[in-house]
Amino acid sequence: MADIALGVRPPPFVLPSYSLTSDLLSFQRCGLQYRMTGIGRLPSSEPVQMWFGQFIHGVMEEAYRRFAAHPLAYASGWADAEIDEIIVLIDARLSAQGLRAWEEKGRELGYERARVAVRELGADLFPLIHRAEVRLTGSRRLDPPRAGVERYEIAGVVDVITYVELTNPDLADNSLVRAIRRALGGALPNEFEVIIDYKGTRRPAERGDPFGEIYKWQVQTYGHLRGQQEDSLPVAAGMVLYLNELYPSAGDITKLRKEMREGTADIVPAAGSDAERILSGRGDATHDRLPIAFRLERAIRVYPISGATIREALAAFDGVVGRIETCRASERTTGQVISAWEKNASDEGTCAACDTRTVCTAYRRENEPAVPGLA
Amino acid sequence: MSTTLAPRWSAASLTRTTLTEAEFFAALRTVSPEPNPEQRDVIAAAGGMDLHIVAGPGTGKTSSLTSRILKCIFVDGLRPSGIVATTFTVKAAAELRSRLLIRGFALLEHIIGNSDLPAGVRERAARLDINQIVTNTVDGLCQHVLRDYREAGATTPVIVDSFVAATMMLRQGLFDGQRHLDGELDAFLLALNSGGNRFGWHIGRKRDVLSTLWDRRFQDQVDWNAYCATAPDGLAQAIASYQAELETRQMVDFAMLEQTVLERLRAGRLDSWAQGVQAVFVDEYQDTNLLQESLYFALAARGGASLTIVGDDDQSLYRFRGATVDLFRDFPGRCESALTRARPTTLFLTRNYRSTPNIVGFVNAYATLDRSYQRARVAAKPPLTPRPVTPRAANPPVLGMFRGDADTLAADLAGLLSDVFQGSGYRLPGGDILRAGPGGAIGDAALLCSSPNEADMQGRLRLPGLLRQELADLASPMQIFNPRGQDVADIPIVATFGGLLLEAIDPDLTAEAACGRAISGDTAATFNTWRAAAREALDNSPALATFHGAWAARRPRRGQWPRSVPTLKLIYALAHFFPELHDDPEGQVYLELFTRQLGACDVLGTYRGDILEAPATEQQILNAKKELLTLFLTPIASGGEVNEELIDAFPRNRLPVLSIHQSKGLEFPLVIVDVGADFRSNHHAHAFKRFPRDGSMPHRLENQVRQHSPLAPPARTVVDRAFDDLYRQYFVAYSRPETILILAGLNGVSPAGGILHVATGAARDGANAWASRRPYVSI
Repeated sequence: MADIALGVRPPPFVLPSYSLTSDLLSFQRCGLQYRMTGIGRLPSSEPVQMWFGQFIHGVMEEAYRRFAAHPLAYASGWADAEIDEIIVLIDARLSAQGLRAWEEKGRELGYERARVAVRELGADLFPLIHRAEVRLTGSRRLDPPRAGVERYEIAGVVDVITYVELTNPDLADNSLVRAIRRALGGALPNEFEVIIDYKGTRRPAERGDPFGEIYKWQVQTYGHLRGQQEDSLPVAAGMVLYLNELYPSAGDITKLRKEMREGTADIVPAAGSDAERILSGRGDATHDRLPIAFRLERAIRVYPISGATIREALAAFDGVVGRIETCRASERTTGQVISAWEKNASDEGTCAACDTRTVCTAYRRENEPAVPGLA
Repeated sequence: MSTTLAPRWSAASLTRTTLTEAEFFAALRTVSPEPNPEQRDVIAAAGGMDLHIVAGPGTGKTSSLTSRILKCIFVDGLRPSGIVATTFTVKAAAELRSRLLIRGFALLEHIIGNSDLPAGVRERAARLDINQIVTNTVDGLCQHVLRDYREAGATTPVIVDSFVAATMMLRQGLFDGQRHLDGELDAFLLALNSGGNRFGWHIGRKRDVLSTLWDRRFQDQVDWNAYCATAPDGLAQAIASYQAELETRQMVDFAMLEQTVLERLRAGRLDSWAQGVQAVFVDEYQDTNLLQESLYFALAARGGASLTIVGDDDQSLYRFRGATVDLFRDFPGRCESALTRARPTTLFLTRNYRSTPNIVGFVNAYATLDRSYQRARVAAKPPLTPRPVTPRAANPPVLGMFRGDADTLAADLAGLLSDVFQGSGYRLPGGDILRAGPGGAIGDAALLCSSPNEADMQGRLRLPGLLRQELADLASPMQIFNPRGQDVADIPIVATFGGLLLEAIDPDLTAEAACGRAISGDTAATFNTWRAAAREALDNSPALATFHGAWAARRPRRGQWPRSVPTLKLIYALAHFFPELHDDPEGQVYLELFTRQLGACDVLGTYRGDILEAPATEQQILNAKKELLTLFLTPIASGGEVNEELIDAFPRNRLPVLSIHQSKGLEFPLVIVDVGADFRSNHHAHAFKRFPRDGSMPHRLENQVRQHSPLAPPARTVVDRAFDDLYRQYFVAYSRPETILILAGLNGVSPAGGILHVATGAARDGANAWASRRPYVSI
């Protein structure tokens, strides 16, 4: 007579794979919301950001492909009719996937931003592009292991990898190259790459906005992953392009004015400039009234990439992965979702658009669903 | 030995052979168990060779494939980006990738840190990017290729979501032109489905048969015009209508996706990809179809990649999804003839590491039980070899639990599970005590059934449903995890939630009435049941009733009711009142079901899945509601199973109940196989599940479409193929457990019980060797 002890079924043998944008950034926003929309694939009832993000990426990629096929055709700029043709094409594709602008006003704003982005950014950006939509993957050891996970895979799609040759006379007047030179100072190799990431958002405040940090980590990590690839040159910097700044909404201007008052905006108009005059008043400062040079300046942000900055970013992401894995393990053990996941109710904007807010134990302002009604 | 054959990759064409074979195996020993001689042959075969690997259950197939891929990189010098590995499911692809990366990085670390190796070897290792190996499902690979290798100016097709595809087939295939009322088409599809038996025949099923035909057209490379000449006109029209709608929307479904890649490959339009691929590895090849085989052959032909395919004909379960097991069995000859190169070598993996020797012996005996089945298997296939019996290793007998009725069977199984996982153990015949291991939980066991449905068509509880009840009634209750246990439309939470949506969207039934024949009688009956379930829920929850009442009456919380409200907002608001939908991983599957189907309505409809009110016109308001009823709620009410992709992982604190198909690739310490808890007699109605007298739909379909396919009609009869499939099904079930296998059924299906069942020893000639010598111990 003996005891027969059954074995324990191990958890599925899967190396966790995390996307920089759809997993790690989303979890940073709120763990529970990430569980519902990311892992649970429950669509948001207010997917404004999702449409614009995909739309603007699609437009920029298509515009670049056309440029790459016939660069000389665009030497004197883009015809409005062709930009609009691209806009319609991309919007139709998104619509076929169920992704639409939330309302007509939002769609028009998105269209305008796309027009300015292709027209104003394209001229300087497209000639620099080495590759677009580059898929990057890498593996990281999680030290110390969390919830039994010792290694994870990290994946992302870089919008653009640029090839910068500083001695190329064609680039002397390039606004993006100037921005890179300014940010990196003198000690640059003659040939290098810059990772560029489009953001369908406004430029975050210098202080007090956690997403500014997250975007910084993201380009650092992209820089690291790109640096592992055999065909890469030294990656000197990451550039984030905040595309909303090219055509700011009234709400964006209100926020900028507030940040200027509070001293948290890092890019402000020069004293005595048209932009300062417009922004210091109370009148309409939207769209074309702000000089394009100022809008471009606010849209472009360059982060130098070095071994130290990469290590800092990777350590930050390791920490986030550890937290996600801990939540996952807790859900597996308890069979419950709400209690297992971290919650972050610090950003009202995120919570207000969250479909789980009424059952979230961290959000106190609404604990039962409201019937629709317009004031 | 496979390694004696010359590789097709000449040394010059390879980047560099970095490690010697001996160095590689020495390094491999530091990061994984020593491969046995069979596994070593698989791993060591030259990277340029085509291989046909026949791997039985639990024989370390994935591990060997992983090591072989790494050997191709480290010894044969293949580039990681030149390797493509595919498998059958997203989960399996993730597991293969995980093993590759974990073992690959461990090897890299060992090589880089081993100063006994030449500096050049270590430098190359330091530059290798293992992440560049492509691992995916075939569909995922095709998506990736069309996206990343599209020609300038070409747009990437939108891959149609399975919910959208099903809804489109319902709308374009059947409702368009009122084909759902076409008697000739109905008879044709019904004959395919069930040989003419109308039991369980409804609009959802009819749509499924149409979708299967559409898929099969591509999977079997059917000459569609020739096939349609043998079918009613309605079939060609239905399929043409569906295809036209896809094309109008610039969408492709998965069958078209693979077909598109095949055509571009053959035309040389994907050479920039194909010519970079050096070796292709395909797992689970026994479930491949002709379209996929053509893809692999075309890829190998365009770029010269070698093919390593792995599978087990005894575990081919997906004939109903177009799988053709003969393609695996006959791979060496087919590959040789299609690619006009040396015949692939067949290697066997037979050493089983998963199960106890008693279980392995049982599985071997089962595989050879039926003489005719041997002719359908890979030629000269050796039996599984068990691990050596040692005095200290547990080797309990296979167990059989047969009872007079299903209630008693469920109660006794619940008692056993309770004793093992939360009691002091279960005493086996002979006195040994079976216990959960340290850290064990009921998730270490599984109930495998031919169908996980909890109730039959008459609403009587089946074993999974009875077991759910019995476990819930224990002093310390236990739960089961069975998201596919019922037709979705019948699941209580789906019915209640669907009813609440109906009552909020269309409280006075005007839209439902206005839909006319677009809502079939079956669907209308389901809607009625749902509405009744909703009213019961409203009676029991004042808070829900208050919220829902205001919604149904369009009573705004302030000011005016908006012109348009997304139905998604209503769904999430209602889910607030149901913790099982937002706080329970199983229940959340049902919430996702509603949101995904609403997404399909959004894509296909005019009103974006919104609920309209004034100032929209009355006609717009009515049309928006009709759209929600027909494109959103009707597809769910039409029935079917929960989409497999919605089910993520099993919680440890519940007993998983799985169909045998779902269990493929999984293993559990304790497995209960339902071998006939439903069968009280030899009734012909359920003969197809245990001792078939005729083929089922996949067999009938093969006979029809393969008249017009390069595959040609199958050599074996429909009945023989039906028997073959049942033997394979129970072979898979019996090879899942590690330590304990329990056959559970009614007394009638036990070997001498009088009801013929292939799961309990019946050969197709009716003889039952188990009647005189039972291969299990009764409990």
